[in-house]
Amino acid sequence: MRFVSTIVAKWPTERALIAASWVGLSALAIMAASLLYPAPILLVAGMLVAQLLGTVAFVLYLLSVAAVYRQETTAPTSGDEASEKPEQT
Amino acid sequence: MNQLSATAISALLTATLAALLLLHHVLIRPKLTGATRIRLLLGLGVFPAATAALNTAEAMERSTTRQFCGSCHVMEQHLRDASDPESTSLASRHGRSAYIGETNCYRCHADYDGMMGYSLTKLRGMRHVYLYYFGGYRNMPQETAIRKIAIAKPYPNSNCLQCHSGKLDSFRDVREHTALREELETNHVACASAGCHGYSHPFSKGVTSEHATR
Repeated sequence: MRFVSTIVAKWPTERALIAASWVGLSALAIMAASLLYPAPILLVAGMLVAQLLGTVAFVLYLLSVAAVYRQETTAPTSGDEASEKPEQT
Repeated sequence: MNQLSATAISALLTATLAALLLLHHVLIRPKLTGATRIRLLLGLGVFPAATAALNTAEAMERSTTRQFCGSCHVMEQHLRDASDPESTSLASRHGRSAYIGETNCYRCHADYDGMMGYSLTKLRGMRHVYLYYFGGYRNMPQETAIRKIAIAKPYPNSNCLQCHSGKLDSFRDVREHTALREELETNHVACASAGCHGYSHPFSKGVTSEHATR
């Protein structure tokens, strides 16, 4: 669990989501190809490689969401900032 | 491109929706608001999962067809004979059955090992794909393939009995069936042999399909 927290803390959210999108698009392209041209090798690729890539893309998405959630929960809120300022009279 | 089934069309539809959402993210690069997160959840999770499920169902179904089995060139002669309406080979005669039809390769070669039979048959089919692409069959001339490639294990008579019941009088009344009962049960005599119902693929044994006339 600590390992995941360490990864999430340093996670490059924006870049990871762009990478996830490209990986996801590749997976979808392989699946579409296997549907349109059902040759044995494409069918196997559609069921193995594409599903593996799709899983990787989804894991990247989950880590990115976790990283954003972590940033949102650990960042100081505007209320906290206000309370830290010296009271002006 | 073959004619697409409803499953394939649904899979392509969900794939298109997912692709549009992902392309939007890649090209526009919106800020990671709640709406973006939901769009990405649909584009990376929900729609691709639906596509994968439908794609698997379609692929499993397609891989039972004769055209699929014959798509490797080493099986071309098997495909030609099994699809030939004039052929009298067992494979072709089964292909003309309304129940079996286009799936005659799969119906006869499937393992009927209870609940796992379907999955095990598909898994063993992976071996054929491996051998074709990485085991040297891909570049093998057809004439060599006919001589060299053989069924991995003796064809079990029990597969024939999945459809042709051995318990009916029409089966028992045949003298040969009764006389060879033990040999048939132990696979020492094959239903699909020259002296009985003829070979399934006679050309692979160097004989014409005329032997398969019983």
